[in-house]
Amino acid sequence: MLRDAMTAGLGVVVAIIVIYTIRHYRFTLNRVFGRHRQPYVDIGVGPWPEIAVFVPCHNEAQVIGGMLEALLASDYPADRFHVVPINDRSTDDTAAIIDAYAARHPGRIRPFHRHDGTPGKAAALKAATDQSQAEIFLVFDADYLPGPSLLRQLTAPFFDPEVGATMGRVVPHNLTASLLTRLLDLERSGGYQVDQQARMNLGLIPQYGGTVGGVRRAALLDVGNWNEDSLAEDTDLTYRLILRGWEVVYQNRSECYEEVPETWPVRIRQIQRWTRGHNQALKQFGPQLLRFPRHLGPAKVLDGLLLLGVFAVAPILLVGWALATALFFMGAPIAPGLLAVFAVASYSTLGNFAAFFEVATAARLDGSGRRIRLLPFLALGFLVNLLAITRATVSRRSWMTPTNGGPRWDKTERYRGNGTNGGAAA
Amino acid sequence: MSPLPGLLALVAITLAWVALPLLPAIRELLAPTDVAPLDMVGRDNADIGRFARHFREYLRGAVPRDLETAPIADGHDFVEMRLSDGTPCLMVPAAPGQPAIRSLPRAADRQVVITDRSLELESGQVFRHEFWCRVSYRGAADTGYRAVLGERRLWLGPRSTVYRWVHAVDALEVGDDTTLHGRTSSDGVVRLGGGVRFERIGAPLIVVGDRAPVTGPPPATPLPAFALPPERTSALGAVRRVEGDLVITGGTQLDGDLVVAGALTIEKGVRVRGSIKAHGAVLVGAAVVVEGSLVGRTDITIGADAWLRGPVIAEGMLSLGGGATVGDPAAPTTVLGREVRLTDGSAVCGHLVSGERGSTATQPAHGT
Repeated sequence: MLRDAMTAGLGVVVAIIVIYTIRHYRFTLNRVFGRHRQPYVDIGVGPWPEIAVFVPCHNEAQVIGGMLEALLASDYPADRFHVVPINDRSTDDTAAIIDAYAARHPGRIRPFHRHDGTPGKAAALKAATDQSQAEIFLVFDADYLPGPSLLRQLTAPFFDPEVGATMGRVVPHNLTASLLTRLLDLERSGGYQVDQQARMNLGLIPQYGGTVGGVRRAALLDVGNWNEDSLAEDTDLTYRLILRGWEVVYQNRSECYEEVPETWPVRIRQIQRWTRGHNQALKQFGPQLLRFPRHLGPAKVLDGLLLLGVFAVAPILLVGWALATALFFMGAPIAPGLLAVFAVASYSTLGNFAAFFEVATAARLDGSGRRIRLLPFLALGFLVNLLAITRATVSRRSWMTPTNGGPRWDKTERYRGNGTNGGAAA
Repeated sequence: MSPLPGLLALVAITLAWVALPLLPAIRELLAPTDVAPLDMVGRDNADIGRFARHFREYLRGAVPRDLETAPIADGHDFVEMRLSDGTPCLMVPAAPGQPAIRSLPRAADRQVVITDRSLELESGQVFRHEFWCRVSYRGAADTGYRAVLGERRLWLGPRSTVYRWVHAVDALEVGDDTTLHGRTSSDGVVRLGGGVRFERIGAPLIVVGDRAPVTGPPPATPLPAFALPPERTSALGAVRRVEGDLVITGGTQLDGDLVVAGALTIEKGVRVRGSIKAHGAVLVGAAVVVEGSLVGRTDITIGADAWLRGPVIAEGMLSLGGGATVGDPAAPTTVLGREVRLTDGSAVCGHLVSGERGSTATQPAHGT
């Protein structure tokens, strides 16, 4: 009886893993052979709307100056945009740096200092949204380095009245710091160049990622503004927009440099934070998708569910390995075909942000073939992900929110100016 | 005989076998060869005149200043020299009162040509390096250019080919059946002949053939409001979304932004005061006015004498009818399509981009 149940459980795990493997292959083949869909990125001139660039900050003195300099160098019409550094209770020199920039660039830099209210990025964005009348909000984390044309590129899709949010591509720049930064560079390439762009090409659900992206004010208010209770305001917003009928657009050519974690503990904390946020979104939006909203269609619903479940794959995979091992030692007959499928599919799914062949394809599309030599080391990163994600999934903090005692400002460590190559690249 | 040596050998071979695929990885880790951040951040194809500007900056630094001002020997029309980076260059200095040059040395097709004197060259030449014309230039038929920068007026003769880019500070006139690869731009007017093939064009005014000056949107006149079918209409914020196909009846007015899930037909004389998107094919009738953007997931066909503020974005084929205008000189905009077809008399103010193929109608245009 127990053995039958365990065998059935293993079958379910294998089925889930195979579905994800098919998904990864579909995306990869689309990027290799499919039509590249990026209809808005070539809009060079037009009646540009008024935009506000939000930069949420909490103790960002190391990086905020570079960020503001990069934004001030933008080629977006100067009379149509302003920057809102949202200083949320910083205890370092962030406020002073922002105010100094505001004094030098009155009207273009409009600081917003928060001293009370719910802490955290989503709450900070919500407070800034309530005070702004701009048509479009672009959002950047403070450690990013946008190029001159990026504001225009990220705003261009909003000429389409159905577009609620846009997302650009994140490109790591502190590559020489460690093996981890190089692995994250590969992982990011696969995730954006293949995964996100394939979803855009196929008319599925590209994800707004919380930075290097934008949202239409009318759409944001239509879905109830930023959700302060969300641990991943980006995933939360993506699904509320999609379920309401707005479109999210990904633009692979709208690239922006970022700092990636240089040490494993920082990386583990980052991925555990993402896991908790994503799982919260799975719990909230999974049932809504399973009602198959008519305007989405089955392909978008399936893609939405699989995207929500990305962080659930790690514990499922571990459960599958445990079941297979236990059944083996219990002497249960497991079909060799099932095990073979499980082994191959696990290998193809283990990179839950970008499977190995997705990373290889991305490196090829990026024209950076030699960095792909590091591919075997990705197994190390994926094993760390597997354990970190599983631990985050089963932890009680997964179900906490900022307003009921959960994490507040849980941001990634900054490196620029620390003597790593981050400073050099900046 | 002890099995230990055999066992150790087996373990060693196995470890070596496992480590084999890791060797390139270890090598790349210890001696990085590809560790620079991806070099694509900041590249912007939407800046159509960028190559021309960079070329001008390059030449200003690369042409030896003493050669620029050196007197030319009697009986010579040209100066052959090398730019500061060693690139061979042919300079044609100004010669006030002298007739236009009718032929260049044979080596000119492998040199950067810089001319301050009028040229009237024979047809059929191919210039493999850039052409910098600091006076007006009228090109012959069947001429091939790698790239052309004209500081004044520029005419490209019929059946010419530009392989990378062309820019004119003043007007640029493109002869019939010319092929414009890459980027075409002007600070003034680009006038295209018939049968021209293009990729990206940017100018305050781009016209096909002869065309009356573009003056902006036609004045608004009172029109009856068009009522959307309530049973198929839902709200997306302030945007209205209509399921299925939609026909907007001629001579009516529609206020606000609209998304149509199916095909959209806008009949003659409609005025739309907002932006429109359709997931199916879009047919814009004659004399329609759209005071916002127009987005089509597939094909867009714009009728004669229509006016659109833009941008106009077609993921399929975009056809612009005779007399139709997108944008106005005071408010330039962008017209995009996977395939773009322009009819004689149509006009775009701003950028015109074809993803795969752009062309003008094949009937002969005037004045080219």
